[in-house]
Amino acid sequence: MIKIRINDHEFEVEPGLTVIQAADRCGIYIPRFCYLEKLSPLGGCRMCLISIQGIPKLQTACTTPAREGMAIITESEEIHKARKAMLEFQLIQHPLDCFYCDKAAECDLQDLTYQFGEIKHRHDFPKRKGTIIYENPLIQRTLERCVHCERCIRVCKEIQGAHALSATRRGRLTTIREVPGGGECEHCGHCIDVCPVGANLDRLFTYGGRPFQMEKGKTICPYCGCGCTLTMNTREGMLMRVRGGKEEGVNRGSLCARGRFGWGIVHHPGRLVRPLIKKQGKLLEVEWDEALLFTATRLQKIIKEKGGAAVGGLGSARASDEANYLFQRFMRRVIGSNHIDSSARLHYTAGLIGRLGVKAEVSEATLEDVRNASRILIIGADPVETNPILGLAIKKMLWKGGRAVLADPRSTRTGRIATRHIRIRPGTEVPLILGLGLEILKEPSLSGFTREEVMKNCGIFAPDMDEILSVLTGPAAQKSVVLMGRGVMQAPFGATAVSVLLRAAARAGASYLFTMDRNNERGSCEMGVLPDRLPGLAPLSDRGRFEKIWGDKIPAAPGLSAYDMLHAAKEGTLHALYIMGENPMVDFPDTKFVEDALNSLEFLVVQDLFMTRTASMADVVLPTASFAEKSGGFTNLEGRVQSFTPLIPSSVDVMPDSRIIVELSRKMGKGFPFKSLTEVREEIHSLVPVQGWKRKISGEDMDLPCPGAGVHWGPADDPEFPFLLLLTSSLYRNGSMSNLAPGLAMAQDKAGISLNPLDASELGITQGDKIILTSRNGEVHDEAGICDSVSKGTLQMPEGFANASPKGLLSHDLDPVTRAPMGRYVQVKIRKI
Amino acid sequence: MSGRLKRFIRTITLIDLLKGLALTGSVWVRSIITPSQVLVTRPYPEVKRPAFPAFKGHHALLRKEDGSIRCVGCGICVGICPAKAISVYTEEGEHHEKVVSGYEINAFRCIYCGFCQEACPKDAIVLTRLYEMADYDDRGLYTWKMDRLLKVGDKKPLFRDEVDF
Repeated sequence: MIKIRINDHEFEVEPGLTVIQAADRCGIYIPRFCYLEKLSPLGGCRMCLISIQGIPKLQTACTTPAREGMAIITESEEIHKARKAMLEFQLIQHPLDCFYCDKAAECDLQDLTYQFGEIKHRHDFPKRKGTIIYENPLIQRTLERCVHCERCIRVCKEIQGAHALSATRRGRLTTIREVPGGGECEHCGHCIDVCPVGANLDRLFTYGGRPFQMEKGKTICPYCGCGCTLTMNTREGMLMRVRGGKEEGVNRGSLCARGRFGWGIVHHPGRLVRPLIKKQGKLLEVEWDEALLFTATRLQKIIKEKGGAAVGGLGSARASDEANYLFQRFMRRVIGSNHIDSSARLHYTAGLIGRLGVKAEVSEATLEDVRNASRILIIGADPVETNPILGLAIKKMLWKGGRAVLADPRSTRTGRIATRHIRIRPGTEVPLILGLGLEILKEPSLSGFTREEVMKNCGIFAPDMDEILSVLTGPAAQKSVVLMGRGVMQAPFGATAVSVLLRAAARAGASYLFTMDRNNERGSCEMGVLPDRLPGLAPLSDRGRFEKIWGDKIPAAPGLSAYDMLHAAKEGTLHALYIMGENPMVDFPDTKFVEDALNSLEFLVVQDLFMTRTASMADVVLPTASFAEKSGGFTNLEGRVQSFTPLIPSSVDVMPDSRIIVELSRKMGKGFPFKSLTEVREEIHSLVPVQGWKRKISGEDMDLPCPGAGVHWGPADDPEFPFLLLLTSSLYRNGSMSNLAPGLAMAQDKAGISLNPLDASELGITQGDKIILTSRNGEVHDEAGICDSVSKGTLQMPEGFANASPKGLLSHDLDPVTRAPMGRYVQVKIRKI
Repeated sequence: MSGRLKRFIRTITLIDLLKGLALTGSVWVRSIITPSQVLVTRPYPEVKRPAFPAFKGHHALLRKEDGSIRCVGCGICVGICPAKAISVYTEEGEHHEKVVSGYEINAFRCIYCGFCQEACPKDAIVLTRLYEMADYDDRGLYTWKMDRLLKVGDKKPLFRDEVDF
């Protein structure tokens, strides 16, 4: 600690701070425009001028380091005069349009001008006019209001890593905008948050109201698995805008495009507002009582005639922990069926089974650990697009001097930032991991995966292999993080690969993390929305403990997983399906198969926000509340349990998921004893203890089958379908629901198929041509985009776009262990329209 | 003379009654000659009484010379209002301009302090001397919408000191 004097008061501060940081810590405010704690100091606005004893001229507090025994004066006649002169400079060009400016009442320039009183205008320059730039669909840039603090440029460079903004020209004509040839704007909107004036504004919010007209509330983002805290502004029951907040939550004030601009779904005119029942082939609006009674009677009839096992349920990787807990309890207790699953099966279950298969203590990384890591190995994941805040953590780590090694066949945003992007052959993530396992663990069961074999299979060279190995070897491996994504989860033997890699990481002392596509994939699994696991991932043999509290028998046999349920439905052994907030018709691979399976059901109930393709096939559709209208908890990819409360009232005829389940079980004669969500939460805590901020879950040595040597990895040669379509993710989409957010549609409205220029010239395709991709299972058409980072012979297409979804092209070969469909690539042929 | 005798004479000569009748009669006569000075029963609502000059009554939104609304939706009245009675709704127009799409005053909340009028930088909102605020229509908990406020403002003459509704 060092001693400094500020305004004749003694203070003790930690060393290594600048004067402004020290003053902030001591509670002394120094006016500023360009300084922001999280950014590098600039010293450009000169509002933070202070006088230091022994230095004749005034100094900028944001760039001067605080030293032992420094005597600082922050307020004096001279300082006041200097600061006022600086304000006068700013006001030469700043227009007096506070009436029309959305920043008024939260504007630093307005506050300071008010504080400094009357400011004379001694300079006579013409004011800049008509310099509002509407190039960005989501962010309005008004150059005449700009005070050239460069906070937006720095935040874009130092936190977001997008390098989209830069300053051109000099002096009062300085122009800050997205310059052609610079980085691509990722629409994170961080520049809106940091702007001290109204130069960067949220276009979705334009003229939405003043800060004092709005109420502020916090919630958890409903999109990806990061679990960011959103600071929402609401006005009269309407969401108005989202802000990152002040260094809050796991995201530390940063947000991605989905978090900031994806809230539009809540007020989408297509929201379901009344329950619907199918009568004579048409869905008609009915009262809640009728809908619930109808559902209860039909379900009871099927249970009576065909037994509880004839009913299946899909929980939701989007619904809250409480809703998922109630759902699985409803399925197991009221229906008497273990056929429970969710879309987490597609993206996460392999990781979960792999993790449970390791008894050794493997430390799980947090986002903070990723920021502080020295090396990171990313396999089959694209965190920058699927989990942008995790992507920011990786960028932070890279700027601190860390190394990121990526093994992924696709050309992705993560590939662009990684220190080394190793383009393995598609579908060879698993042999790569098993080869790594052999090098580190030296287990005999992995003996087929020798270095040569792996290098041949994956199409990589010895230095690549060394690079990957270097992350998990040596003493520095203590600060390594292994990151796995859907490339591993959706590969055959993915669970085995995960468990091998986790054991290797445990041996090396490294920690691990999975990328997660849905906000509550982890929570839904931990709440027991799995056919063979109870809450807290307890095995079914442990069911006595739950039966005691639930007061009912739990079926002993494990249930069917999602695709097995669909198979059973097609074969006629599963008669009813209860879907809570999932949209298998769009989100599950092999759309045609899913459609056939759902059509052959006798009774289908769907709980959803919108009339999705799945909901339109249902016999009963129950409207549910969105994330902003309900309370509950989400578990993020680190395992952090975060709760949220409603921000706005829901419309009269909409109920939260959890309440629908409770009401329905009451109608079925086996009501729950809960009076409030708090009681549900208490029961969950009594069954699944939370330790610190995450649930305590331990592994249990499982024998996961190991593939033998000589298995063919990746797609087989098929002359009829010569191209390989690789599925990627988009920053602007996350599931089918995100298509309905107007803000995200403005950022990107078409999926687009990227292909290699050589392939394109061979086929005579140019940028923007319409092409049709045909696979054995279906076809999809979209615009072609030429991209030279895509490998020859492969195509790339992001999933999640409603207008062109590659899911229909995929087949659904199931992994023998996880029963998850393999859906990261598909062989296709191209036809130009 | 004893008090009893006095009382007897007053009673028998009906002096008190005549005194009263004289007052009534004189007022009656004067009311025929100069009626405006004498009438104490006001024939409201046929004849409306002007409010005092400083009276603050029904709000009005004013227009510019070209007929467009003066209000620019800056929201200062919303901020200053101690009773939180005002809501201003603005939206983006066709050419990115700020359009005032709604201006509402909750008449139950308003305490008629006149701060909104004082704060308004564009002289868009004024409190008139109109005190007749009763309405047959109680929809929306007696919220005055923009069209009503503009209608009040459209009554000429505009400014408060001269307004005589």
